[in-house]
Amino acid sequence: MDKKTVKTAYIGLLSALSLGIYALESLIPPVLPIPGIKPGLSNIITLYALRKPGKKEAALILTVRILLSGLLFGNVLSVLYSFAGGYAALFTELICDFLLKRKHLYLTGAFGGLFHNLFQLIAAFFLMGSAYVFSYMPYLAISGIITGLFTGLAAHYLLKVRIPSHPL
Amino acid sequence: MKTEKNREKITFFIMTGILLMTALISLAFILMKGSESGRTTVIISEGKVIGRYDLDLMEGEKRITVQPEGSRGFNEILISKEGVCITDSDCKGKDCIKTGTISHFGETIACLPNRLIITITSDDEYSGYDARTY
Ligand SMILES: [Zn+2]
Repeated sequence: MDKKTVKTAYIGLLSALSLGIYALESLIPPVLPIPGIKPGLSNIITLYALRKPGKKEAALILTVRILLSGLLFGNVLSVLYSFAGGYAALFTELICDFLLKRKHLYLTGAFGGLFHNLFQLIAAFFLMGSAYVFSYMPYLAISGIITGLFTGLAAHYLLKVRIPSHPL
Repeated sequence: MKTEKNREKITFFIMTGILLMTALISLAFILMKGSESGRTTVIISEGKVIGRYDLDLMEGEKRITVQPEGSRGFNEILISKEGVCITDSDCKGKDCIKTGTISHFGETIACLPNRLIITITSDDEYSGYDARTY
């Protein structure tokens, strides 16, 4: 098989994984009565993809996941929120991973989680037309950092796994 | 080589510091809110405050139906001393109903499709607040 086909299949696989994780996560009932607090487990795939195929592929996987999850379980609004949060996290993680010289992935994850939640709130502010949404920034900041630390650690250990005949 | 290592260490400590500070400041905000009394629930529909109720002064139950003019979305809200919840909604997903009852400061129910937010704050907070901020 030529390299391009393998790469396309690999991106498809990671996109499917990300979508699957996202779908499973949406089945978990909310722990706290504050909207937006979620484990954000599909960020594990984003972080993994950022390292293994690369940043362009990570952006592609994220876009596919958001569009498909919107189509399957959401609506236009949920896609907008996902884009705001997802891309904010991706760009933050890109910068952090560069600054940290590809070390301490858990820190990168924590920053990603924080900015994911911050930008979802900003999106909510524009969509709802109310500054009240910022009253739960403290909760979202803490939950974003904690879940980001966790997903960063998970991606770190996932990257350590040696997959036999890994395509990339 | 040594300066390279040092620079890495500095980056690491600065970034850890930013996260710790953010977490501590957030925690301080949450704890400060918790120590206040007088829980007030504020109902905001399409960016406008349409209702404000002091939970600790509530007697019995109060049901409110929110249906903005020219909108097909409706939500039914139940308010009592115990807290606030959305009992019915025509939105897809029904996340607002699944949120359940809120009763503490800072807790919020949002119905994104119907552009409705219900939140619990203290009396004085946001009292001079203009609902439309944009
Ligand atoms: Zn709803």
